[in-house]
Amino acid sequence: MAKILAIESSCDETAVAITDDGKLLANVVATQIAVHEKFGGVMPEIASRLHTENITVCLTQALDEAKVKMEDIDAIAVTRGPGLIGCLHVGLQAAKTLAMLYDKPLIPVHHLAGHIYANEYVGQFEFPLLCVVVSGGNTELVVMRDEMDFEIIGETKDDAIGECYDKVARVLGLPYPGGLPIDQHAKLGKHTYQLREPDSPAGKYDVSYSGLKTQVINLVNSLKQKGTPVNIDDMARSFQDVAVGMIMDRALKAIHDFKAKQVVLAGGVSANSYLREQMSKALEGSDTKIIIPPLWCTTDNAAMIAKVGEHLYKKGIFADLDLGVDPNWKIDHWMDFKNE
Amino acid sequence: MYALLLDSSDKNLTVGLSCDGKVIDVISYEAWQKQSEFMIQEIKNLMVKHNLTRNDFNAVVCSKGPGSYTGVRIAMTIAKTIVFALNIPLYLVSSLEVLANFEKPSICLMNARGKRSYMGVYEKGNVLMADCIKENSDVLAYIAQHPEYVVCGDTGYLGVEGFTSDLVSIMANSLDDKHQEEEPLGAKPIYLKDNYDEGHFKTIVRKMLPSDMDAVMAIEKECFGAEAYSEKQIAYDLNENPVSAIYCAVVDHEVVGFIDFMITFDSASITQIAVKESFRKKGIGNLLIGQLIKDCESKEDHVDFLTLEVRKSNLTAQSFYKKHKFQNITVKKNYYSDGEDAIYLVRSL
Repeated sequence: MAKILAIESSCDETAVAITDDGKLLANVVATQIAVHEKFGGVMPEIASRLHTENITVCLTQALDEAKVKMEDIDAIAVTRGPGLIGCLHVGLQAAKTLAMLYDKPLIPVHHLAGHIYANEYVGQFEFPLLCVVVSGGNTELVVMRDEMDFEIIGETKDDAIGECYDKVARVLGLPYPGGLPIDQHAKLGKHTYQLREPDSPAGKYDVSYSGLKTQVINLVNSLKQKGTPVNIDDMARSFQDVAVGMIMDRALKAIHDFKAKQVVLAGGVSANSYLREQMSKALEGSDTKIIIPPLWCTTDNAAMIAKVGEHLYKKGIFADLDLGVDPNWKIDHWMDFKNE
Repeated sequence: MYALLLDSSDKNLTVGLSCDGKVIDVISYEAWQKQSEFMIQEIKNLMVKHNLTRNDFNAVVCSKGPGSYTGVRIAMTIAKTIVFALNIPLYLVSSLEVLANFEKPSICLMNARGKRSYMGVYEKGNVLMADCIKENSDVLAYIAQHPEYVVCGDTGYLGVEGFTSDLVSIMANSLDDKHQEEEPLGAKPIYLKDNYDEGHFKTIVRKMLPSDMDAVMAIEKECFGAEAYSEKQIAYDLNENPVSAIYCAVVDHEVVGFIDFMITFDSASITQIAVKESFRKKGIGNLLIGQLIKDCESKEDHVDFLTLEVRKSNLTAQSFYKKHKFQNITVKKNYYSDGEDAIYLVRSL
């Protein structure tokens, strides 16, 4: 039996969760979306400030919800990266302080491992497993052959898919974050605009989104110059078809090549209904099963950090109190967290 | 009972331990950008050395800024987490106040970069000038006007020798009502440097977005009437003109002003600058000009001049530019379509 308190502050959500042997006792998320909406994107300095303001309020609330005391906690898990550096610092200090005061193990967690393992709240993993990690900061295909074993087989060579959604939404005058509004407009539209997949980057499973974004911006601007109104629904649909089509194409190749028994979706863009629908449809009747994360797990939270924390607690993987953050931590290097 | 003293607002990492107002141990060294890694370990080291458990602490004293943003947040987050966990009081001290000389009036300074300083003036724990941010030239003038005051802090960057205070003693003596934080869980640092304060946003300046077009056009029409640019002209500068940039000043969601300028080689010219009538005389024009200068300074090619034309009859605008160190160079006859002359103004950077 182990109670884990987990802290996540890598981007624009301050989150604290408490689990007891896998059971979620508290899951507190203080979101900053309303603040960042004003800027059309996350402002790192403001996000860091809000984390500092919110962190102890979230801790208090989590202990209240879970009806436990700090003394009852067996280990502290914290997101060490990747993410915004100033934001990561805040969660890390809080976690290290608690680990130090109560003399409990400190568990360094990789944010994307968290998004992947969030799926364990709804299903059991079967290996080999393909993770489609799609978010505002990441676009990666990761193969897992065992618990906590990650190999990145493909990734974006420039923008993340979520970043591309946000920028396209901005050009179309849609709100931030752009994922949901584009998804909604796309449902009403037809694929009428000529957008194409950017030239294939190096690796077989790699993608590139920056070219697609530029195509949309240029097309919208040239239509505006001509005085031709842009049909938002159709543009959203045309864009989404290509954007999701690219990741689907790579994922299906990888499922075949690696004989994946299971596919899991992870990250903010895994909330996208079109991606969920396309992936489910493509795997219908095949031997590959799919786990789709519950919507609450597609945004940042600490429950997913606690989930990874449990696995590492069992393995006894702990950090020293001089642990630092790593804004560019790669998931296949999740064991590298010691200071030289 | 013991108080833990924490400061990481500048280059140093400082962890102190006091008992009944007396400092009994200090760890302090330069740890620029490494405070995040080492501060907790140093607290632990002090606890082990003095054989303390968490229950031996009855207060935390922490510097609240101004200073390095990340640095201030590190000590503050640790302090808040400790007082949350142990349910003990939190005392916050200005990171300038802790630099003061205790005998004499003290001008406490910290390098804020960008030719500016964080400055506060203290005398025996009383505030003579509240913490603020000032141009270094103004700071030097203030020092010259107050020869009897002691200059305090790491002031080598000003070419002035500064007094080095007993920082932890000042912190240890700050366990009073004046410094106690009433709501430690919601405590936040003092940043001073920009416009985000007191939980709401004042003016921010950011690049214009396509979705700002309607708001920008409304201000354009309000400010320039019949001479206003068309939406097409603004859209050209926004999307196509490779040398132009448009920034908007935004107050709580609302676009209240904008600047449209071009940077070509060694000079920048202001195409338009406009602020909504109800938001004038609030420093928004200054922020917009400031953004232009920032852009100029970030260019690889050095930008030497800012230029613009203004209507001869527009005296308000002329006095605004004069304040911003623009100089009359020449009059361009019949410059405007209605035949009015333009005054050509230039400012060197």
